[in-house]
Amino acid sequence: MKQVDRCKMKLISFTVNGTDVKVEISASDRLIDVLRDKLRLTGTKEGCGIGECGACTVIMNGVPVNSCLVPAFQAEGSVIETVEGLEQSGKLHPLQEAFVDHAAIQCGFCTPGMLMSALALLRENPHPTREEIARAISGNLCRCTGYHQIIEAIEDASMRMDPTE
Amino acid sequence: MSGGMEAIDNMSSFKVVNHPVRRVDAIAKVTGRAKFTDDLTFDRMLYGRVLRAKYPHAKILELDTRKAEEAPGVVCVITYADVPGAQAIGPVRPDMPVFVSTKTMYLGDAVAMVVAETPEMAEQALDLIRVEYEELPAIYDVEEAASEGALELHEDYPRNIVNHYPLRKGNVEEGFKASDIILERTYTTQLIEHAYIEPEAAIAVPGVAGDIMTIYGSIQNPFTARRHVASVLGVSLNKVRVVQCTMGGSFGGKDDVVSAICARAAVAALKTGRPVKIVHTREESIIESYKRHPYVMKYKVGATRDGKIVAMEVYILADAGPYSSMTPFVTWRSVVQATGPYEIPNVKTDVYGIFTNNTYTGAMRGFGSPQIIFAQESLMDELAEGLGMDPLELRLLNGFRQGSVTASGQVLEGHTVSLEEVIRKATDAIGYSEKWKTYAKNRPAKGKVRGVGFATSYRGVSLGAEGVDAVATLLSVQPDGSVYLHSGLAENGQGLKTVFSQIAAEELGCKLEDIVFMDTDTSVIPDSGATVASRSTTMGGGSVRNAAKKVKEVLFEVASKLLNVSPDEIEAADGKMYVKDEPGRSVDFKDVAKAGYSEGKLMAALGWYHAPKVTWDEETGQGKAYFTYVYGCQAVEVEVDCDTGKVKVLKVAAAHDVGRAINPATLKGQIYGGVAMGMGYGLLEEVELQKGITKTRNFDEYIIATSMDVPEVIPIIVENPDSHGPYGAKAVAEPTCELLAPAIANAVYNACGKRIRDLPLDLERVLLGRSLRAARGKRGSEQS
Amino acid sequence: MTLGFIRPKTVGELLEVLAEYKDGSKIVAGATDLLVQQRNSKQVEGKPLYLVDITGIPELAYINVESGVVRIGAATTHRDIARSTVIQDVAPFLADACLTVGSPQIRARGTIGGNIINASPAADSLPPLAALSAQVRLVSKRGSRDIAICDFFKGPYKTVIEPGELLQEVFFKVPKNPGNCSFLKIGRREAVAISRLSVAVLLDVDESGKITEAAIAPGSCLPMPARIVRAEETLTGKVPDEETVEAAANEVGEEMVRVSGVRWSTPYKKPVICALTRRAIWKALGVDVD
Repeated sequence: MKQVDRCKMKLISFTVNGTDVKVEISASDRLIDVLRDKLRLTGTKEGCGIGECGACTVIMNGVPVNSCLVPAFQAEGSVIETVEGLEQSGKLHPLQEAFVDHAAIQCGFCTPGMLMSALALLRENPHPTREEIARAISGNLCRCTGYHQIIEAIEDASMRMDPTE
Repeated sequence: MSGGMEAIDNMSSFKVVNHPVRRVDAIAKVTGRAKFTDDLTFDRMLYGRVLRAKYPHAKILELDTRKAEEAPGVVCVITYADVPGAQAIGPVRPDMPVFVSTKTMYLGDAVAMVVAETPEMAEQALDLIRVEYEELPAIYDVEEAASEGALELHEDYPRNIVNHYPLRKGNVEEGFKASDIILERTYTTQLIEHAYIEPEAAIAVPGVAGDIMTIYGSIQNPFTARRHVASVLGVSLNKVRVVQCTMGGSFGGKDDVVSAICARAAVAALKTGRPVKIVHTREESIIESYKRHPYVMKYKVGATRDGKIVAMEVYILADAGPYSSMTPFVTWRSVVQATGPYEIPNVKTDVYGIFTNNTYTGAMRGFGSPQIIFAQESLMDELAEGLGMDPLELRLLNGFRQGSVTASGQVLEGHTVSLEEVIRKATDAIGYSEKWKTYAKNRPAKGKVRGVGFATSYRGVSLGAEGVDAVATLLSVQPDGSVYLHSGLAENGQGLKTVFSQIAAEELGCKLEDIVFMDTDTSVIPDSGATVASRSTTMGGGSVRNAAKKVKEVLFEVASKLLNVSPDEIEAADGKMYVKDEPGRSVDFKDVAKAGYSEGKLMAALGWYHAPKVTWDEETGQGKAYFTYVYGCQAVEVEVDCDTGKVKVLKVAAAHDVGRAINPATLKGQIYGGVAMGMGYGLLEEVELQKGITKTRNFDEYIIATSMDVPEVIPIIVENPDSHGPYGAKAVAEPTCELLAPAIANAVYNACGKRIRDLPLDLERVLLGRSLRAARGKRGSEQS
Repeated sequence: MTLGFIRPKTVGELLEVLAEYKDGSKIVAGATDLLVQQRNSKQVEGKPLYLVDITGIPELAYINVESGVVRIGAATTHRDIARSTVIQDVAPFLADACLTVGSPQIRARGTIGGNIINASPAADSLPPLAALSAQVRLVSKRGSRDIAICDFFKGPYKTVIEPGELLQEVFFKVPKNPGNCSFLKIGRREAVAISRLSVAVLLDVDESGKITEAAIAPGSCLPMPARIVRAEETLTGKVPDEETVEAAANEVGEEMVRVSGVRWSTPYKKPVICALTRRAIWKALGVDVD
């Protein structure tokens, strides 16, 4: 049997917002550290470090995760999406548009994570009910907005993204 | 311009103001481009990590940092001995050390700070600092601390009294004699964390322009931070430049504690000659940062049989922790408003701030009002019950009207006293009157039952007789017609940049998108005090309008030549200047700017707004405390699970008189957010201390409402334009979070007949009537 | 502290690594508990460890039913279990329980194996697994062994797993009446809430309406997952009426006090676990009560 690698540091490669990246990581690095410190993608925020606030939410292989609770080595070969990937060639994503239009932002610190949870939801459930929206963002704490305008924005975005319904 | 009477504009003519325009900072925030403090890096930047106290109250016998200094990556270890200027800071009294020297006073005290090449290296070296302590007797109970003969935590503060505010009106003894019913009740509230999602952060960059120390940070009040950093460095104010970064929430919280962090970073930057960044972990944030004061409140009320309140006596102890911080200001608002929006001929109120070894307390959204409103609005329902009256009737009978006299003897005039209007609108929206009667009749002891309740308040706008109340704005039109706006007040997430830009665009007639609102920079704009007390729109908005008017005058003069009419025939809107009676005759705003520039006109102005005069007599508690007031009412329907103690908030109607809604969309955001925070105060939140040790350290234990907890909210915006504010606007941020806790307590009583006088109404209190939290002793009414 | 990490690709490779490092290694899957524990204990405590990542082993994430036995691979996430139509059919209360774990982000990462191994008395998946009489399969280079879920725990946060062993899967027989089950939980808030109390109930009811078998397993009230036999016996053989259900529910409270003693939380937990159990029994019977 082939010897399995024991790594302290390792050069890993994965995809971020459609771009292939290679980063040297250590065993104690978390995905959020790689994104913020090594790749300088600072849109992803850290609020608690224990997966309770959701400010660090990114989409990993299609599902929303707390990047503060993902060991960086598990990112190898994965597909990661962060808030920086939403805008395409200078055009806001419909979710971003809806957040802007519905005043769904106050201090903005939870916003990137909130957008990623919302995006993950709308991809698998293009027309969620308000309750489904609330559940989908229940792991993203917001202290400013009381959530109502965020939920309205996500509901509106679902219609903008799929106007056929 | 001063705060005199001014004609209130006709709402229908507004072009920008009173419309739900997009937030001006929205695009940066949805794209991740907005730069929060921790998103910034500087060349050769170092990282500071603080070693905190091991015991809440202990002598430091020895502090040995040598081993830590030798650890890999460590550049130096900073202690009190490195502080070149003042050792301690504080908004009222400089009694909070940036680094403690001889003893610790609470668990969050900073003993030393490791400065290293990476945060991890700094963190690892913390364990190498050796501190020898001798534990000292400590006080954690506010009533014990305030008693005769109690251990004194500070010299010259007998009974640990930080401050005492008396208020005397009429004669309460006579009042109680004339009363048919007298109730005495004790209410208590808990220690509350601001829970901004972005933890505190600051970066000090030395020597940017000569010997100026530049501070970037998550700073609610840049001028306060500057004052503290300058005093700690021992330099003049102009040697410190504070630039506010995008703020990840504050709610009153990023003031003293952030000043301390800025000062620590500055001391380290001075010593190392390199930029130093400090970012708190959530645990550090909860342990060090100040909180909302827990209050113990003893109320006595007397009323006649027909429901007229004759006398009220109030005795309040506010737990200040070991430092003065904002306690004197917070408790002052409490003494003004303690008896609520009711006409009471005889009042005796005493509010004390008391030192203890608990986490220190200071400013938080509400600022001394959520506590007293919980007590006074619970008491109103209890009194109604005692009188056999409907709580709504009782409040309307005693509530303020136009010309009523407050407890401090102030006649309510010069603005619309809209108490009855907000009460009726909020209670009608949830069908209070009908439901209250139905639910009160049917109270099964098992299963899920419903109840309704409400609470109402009046609230003084801005600082009041607390302190200097003036704000500056710098508005500068560029040669191409674009506009810079600098304000002395700061965006904390609430939407100030948007509201100020709207006011500027409205007044100047330029397009909203042509305005860029710069982050607050203390080297650009005059000291405008703090962004607190829901004063931004009234005070800051006034200064924006003042600046815009000055610039407009210059531009109209330029435009008058281009249009061949006199300046007073011109109006401006939507990026055009036109002849009033002939709107087709117009010139573009940008062409006016261009012409003005070529003519050498000054197209910039400093706007200033000074609050109208207020008065206060410290001995009697009498005076004109605030220049105007806002009125609010929140009504709620809840479902109580009698078998588990779970309270579910079903629906909230929130009616707030805001004078004028500058931006109805962001205003609703303030209401929704305040309601969620008020719900947390009522049901969920509490920082637990066990003999001064913080037990609640992160968001797994400090529970704030999630998207699945918040109820349906009906925001009701009441507009009675106020002569003092821009376009009639006044305040909304704080009233929205001060009402729901007592409304819920009243609704729980309506549902199941249990009166809970201690916050929060958690599972155990609702089921058993007392708290079972392991960490904390019984308090208030739970002692019996 | 963490010495390094190892990412085996197959169970075979994994067992080799575990055999080599034994207690010098720690298996990591969703890492939702591990990274929190590491943060709280700082890096200085504990012995040096290699983290052995099992998320790169596809053969550990599965849900299947064969010959009336449901098998769930250890690396299956709570999200996948909650959404599994198989689980929704054969053990809907397990899907319900998994849906109350943490947040969507935590459910997307946290695994059933991790939830079992972590052995928290408040773990949401454990009461339904106990009620299902589930077993866990432990494998190592030396072979494998199956242990009943309730015997797998030694106490709070303690299990019988040996160094070098892998929890490969949890499995249980398809219940006779999957419809007659329920999971109820009380937390301090509606989402991302640690269970204050929970209970799982699984019943078998015959045509006459008589309960022929009952399984009742509470959460957050005993040091480790257990069935409450006295409560189950109270129901068995009876056509449920209010009195019987109440009596069975009360047995759960009694058992909690017998096992855990009277604690600061008992005045709350005892009446509430009884009330919650009463509701859960009725819910399992298809009766909606408060």
